[in-house]
Amino acid sequence: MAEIKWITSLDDGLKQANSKKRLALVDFFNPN
Amino acid sequence: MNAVAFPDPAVFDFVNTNLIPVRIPADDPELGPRYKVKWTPTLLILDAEGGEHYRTLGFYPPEELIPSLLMGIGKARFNEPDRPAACDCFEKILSNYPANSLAPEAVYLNGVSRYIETHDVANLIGIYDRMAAEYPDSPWLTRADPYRLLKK
Repeated sequence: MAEIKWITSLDDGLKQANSKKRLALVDFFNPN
Repeated sequence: MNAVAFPDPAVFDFVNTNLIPVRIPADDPELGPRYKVKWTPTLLILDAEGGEHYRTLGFYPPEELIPSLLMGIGKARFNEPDRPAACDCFEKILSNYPANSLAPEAVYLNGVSRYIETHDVANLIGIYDRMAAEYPDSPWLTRADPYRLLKK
């Protein structure tokens, strides 16, 4: 099954968003 | 959310093609308060500076999640402003998900985006006409109601 390759650092995600000219999708999930 | 929508192949393709996926625990001591996360799942569409443009709360099935993400991307592009890119998102909602609950809002924002670009009031009148014809029970028809007065 295909899985989304989630980034776990917001800073890293925003850097990729900037370099790829995309928007970030941030999933705030329940860790418990 | 992961158990329902994200493993879906269409959602997987959409996210990988259009967005940078980031996953943060809601109890993150810095980011939870910064983005006022009070419940999960909360999904945000952020620009590269971390500015929030769209938010959803609760679980979405796959067929609801893609039009919701399109709306989020469209609103972010509207705000940039990159109105042609915004229109592309709104039109995809209307062509691919015309029965989705977000479709009336897409009609509205698509017409407004086109009006801002062209200053042609036909785009505003078109919002009202399309809303009245296709989504007559939507609250967005009320929001578009003044535009019918622009007809000559």
